[in-house]
Order: sequence, then structure tokens, then C-alpha cells
Amino acid sequence: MKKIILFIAVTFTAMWICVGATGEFDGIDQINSFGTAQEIIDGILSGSLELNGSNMADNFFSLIFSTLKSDIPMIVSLISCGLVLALAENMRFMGDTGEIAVLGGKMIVAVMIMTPAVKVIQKAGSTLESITKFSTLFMPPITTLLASCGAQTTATVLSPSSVLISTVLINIISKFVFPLTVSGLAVTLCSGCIKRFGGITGLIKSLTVWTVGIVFTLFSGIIALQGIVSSVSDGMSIKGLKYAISSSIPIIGSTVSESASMIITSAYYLKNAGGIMGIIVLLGICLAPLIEIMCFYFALKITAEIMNVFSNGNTGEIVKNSAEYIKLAGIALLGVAVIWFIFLGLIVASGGAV
Amino acid sequence: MESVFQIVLAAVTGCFLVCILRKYSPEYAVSVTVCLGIFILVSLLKEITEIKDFFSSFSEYGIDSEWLKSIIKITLICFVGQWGSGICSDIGEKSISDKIETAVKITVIIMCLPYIKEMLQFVSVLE
Repeated sequence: MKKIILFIAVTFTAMWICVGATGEFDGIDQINSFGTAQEIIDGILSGSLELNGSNMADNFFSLIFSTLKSDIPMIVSLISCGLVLALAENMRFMGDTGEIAVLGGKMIVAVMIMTPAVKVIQKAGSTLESITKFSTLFMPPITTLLASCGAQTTATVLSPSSVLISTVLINIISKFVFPLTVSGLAVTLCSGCIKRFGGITGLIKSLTVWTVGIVFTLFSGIIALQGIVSSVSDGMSIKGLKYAISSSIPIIGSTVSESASMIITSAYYLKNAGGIMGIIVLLGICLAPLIEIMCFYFALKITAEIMNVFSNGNTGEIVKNSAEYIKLAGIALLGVAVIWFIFLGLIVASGGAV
Repeated sequence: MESVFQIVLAAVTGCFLVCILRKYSPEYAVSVTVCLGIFILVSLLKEITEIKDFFSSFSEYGIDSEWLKSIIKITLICFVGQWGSGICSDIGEKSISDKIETAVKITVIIMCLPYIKEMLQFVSVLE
């Protein structure tokens, strides 16, 4: 029996590791210096894998600096455009043509900001798709492992929760919050050119902030509550099972009961290993886009501050307000990642009442 | 540097000349004003080309200078348009001056059209 359960557990674990190694999740490769998941497993089996933190740290910092470096041309272009716009703003005393020069310049600056900003938000959207794909592959084996270690109630309760997170939450973020962020960004940039959209900008911003706040509070609350309730039920059912075995089977009842405990403990270790690996994979999927968003946000902030030094008009303010929307997109992505971390943490923590 | 001295010297001399000519022959005074304006613009051409070349050299450092070129073009068009409009106003042709300004505005709008189109393409992201 023990061998059969172990065989099933190992088969399921190996199945999702192999599926994960097919290159579906490219984000993790950017911080992982040891190759694909398949290569890591080969390295472990052959004993050639040297796991040291310095390689990972080097890759992590090189990812941050390469992202910042790739943003430098945009910063320089924006600052140069800001300089020329400042000159055009000084031409305003000449009449209407100066005004139209500033308006045209601001329109170009708006497109300059919008192009990379939309790319960053689209990348955040594709990261959410990757998380959905990962959850589709990861949840069936981890739920089986969870059930095999005696946490049937937790498995039953958390399985619909995972569907809820991967469909409802991710759909709300990718189909509502991200488009709202892009719209807000567009309206902010337009309001920089024509100062009549101030009210709409504020409305879209507060709508985005409230949606993100409500959705994440609701989901984290539901998951935490489900985890607490189901773990109590699991503990009771395992104790009941052990008592039933030891009291109903004559002579060898207690031995069988202890053997069952051993099997459940083995499955528990496997489930924990799977859960922790899930957290690491999720970190790998989310880290690169999050760093990209963070670097882009800081690049825009720095540009805005430099532009404010020489610009009399609101060009610096346009860039500064745009950065706020990039921050909102980053917060939404980070929120989804945090919800998944809590969820996987619950899976790792549950099923230990043997 | 030298061109600034040349421009200032020519402008001050021209102003004196215009003041004197205005009393005896106003039509010559207007001609001097127009010639002075053309001289100032031609003197600045070298500097304007230098500025344009400087921003164009940004592409050598991997920076997309197309945006900058567009902003500089718009600024220069407005500058030249305003200059022409000013001369027409000096001559007393307010109607032509207004038309020049309108032409400049239309040109700037046409230059901005590709960027407006690019902005509209972001709508597809919202779908």
C-alpha cells in the first residue's frame, strides 16, 4: 500500500515537473543560472549540480541593472525632448504658434511614454496568463498529494479556491484593471496636452485603486478563512481514522494505525516539497516582469524630476502622473503573486495533523 | 558667438537707419526692416543646422532620435512661421500675417497626425 501511494505521488510530482520543464515559463530562466528545470533534475541525478546562492544573486542583480540600462535611452530621449519643449515654451511670448509647438511636442512626448508603458502592461498581462497556465498544471498533482497526506477537506476546499483565483481574480486584473490602467494612462497624457480631463483622470485612478484594494482584500480573506476551517476538520478526520483502525482491527490494529501514520507523513513531505517548488516557480514567473515594471517606474520618476528642473510647463508632471499608473499595474501583478504565495503557503502548511 | 555680435550690430544699425528713413521715405524703411529680418534668419541658419545635427547624432548612441527630430521640426516651423508673420505685421499686412499663422498651425497638426494615429492603435490593447 505504502509503495503504491508513494508511486502515485512521485508519478504526479514528476509529471508536473516535466511539463514545467518544457519552456512554458521563460521568466524563471532569467534568474536561474542552472538551466531549465529538466537540466536541474539531470544535474541532481548525476551529482554535477552545484547549488550556490552567489550565481543566483549575480543573475538577479544583472537582471535589475540590465533592465535599468535598457531604460536609459528612453530617459535620455525624454529629457532631450523636454529640453526642446522648454525652448518651445519660451517661444510662447511670440504668440499662438509657440502654443501649438508646445502642444505638438507634448503629443510626441505622450506617444514616447505610451509606447513602452503599454508594452510593460502587456507583459504584466502575459505574466498573469503564465500564472494561469502554471496553476492549471500545478494544482491537480498538488491536490492529489494533499488528499493523500490526509488533508481531504483542505484539498476539497482549496481546489475550487484555486480555480477562483486563476479564473476570477486573474480575469478581473487582466480584463478590467489593466485596460483601466491603460485608459487612465492615455487620459493622463491627454490631460497633459489639453487641461480638461483632470476629473476623468482622478475618477479612473480612484476606480483602479479601489478595485485592486477590494479584490485583494476579499480574496486574501476568503483563502485565509478556508485554510483555517479546513485544517481543523482534517485533524479531526485523521484522528478518527486512526482510532477506527486501531480499535476495529483485532491484534494488529495499532500496528496498521502506525503504518498509516508513516504513509501519511511520507506523502506530507512530498506535498511540502511540491508546494515549495511551486512557490519558487511562481517567484520565477513574477520576478522578471515585476523588476521591469519597478525599473520603468523609477526611470519615469527620475525623468520627471529632471524635467521639472528646466521645464516651466507641466511636461514633468505628465511624466510623473504616468509613472503612477505604471505603479498601479505593478501593484496589481504583485497582488496576484502574493495571493498565490498565500495559497501555496496554506497548501504547504496544511495536512500536518498526523 | 560671432554671429550674435553680427546680428546685434546689424539690428542696432538697421534700427537707426529705419528711424531715419521713416521720416523721409517710409517704403524704404519697410524694405530695410525686411532685409534685416532675412539677414538675421540667414545668420542663424548655421546654428540651427548645428543643433539639428547634434540631436541627429543621438542615434549613434543607440537613442531613438526620430522623436526629437519631430519636436525640433515642429519648433523650427513655428519659429520660422512666427518670424514671417512678424514681418508681415511690421509691413502692416495683418491679414497675411494671420494666414501664415494658420498655415503653421495646419502644418503642425499634419505633422502630429502619425502620432495621433499611433495613440489610436493603443485602443487595440484595451480589447
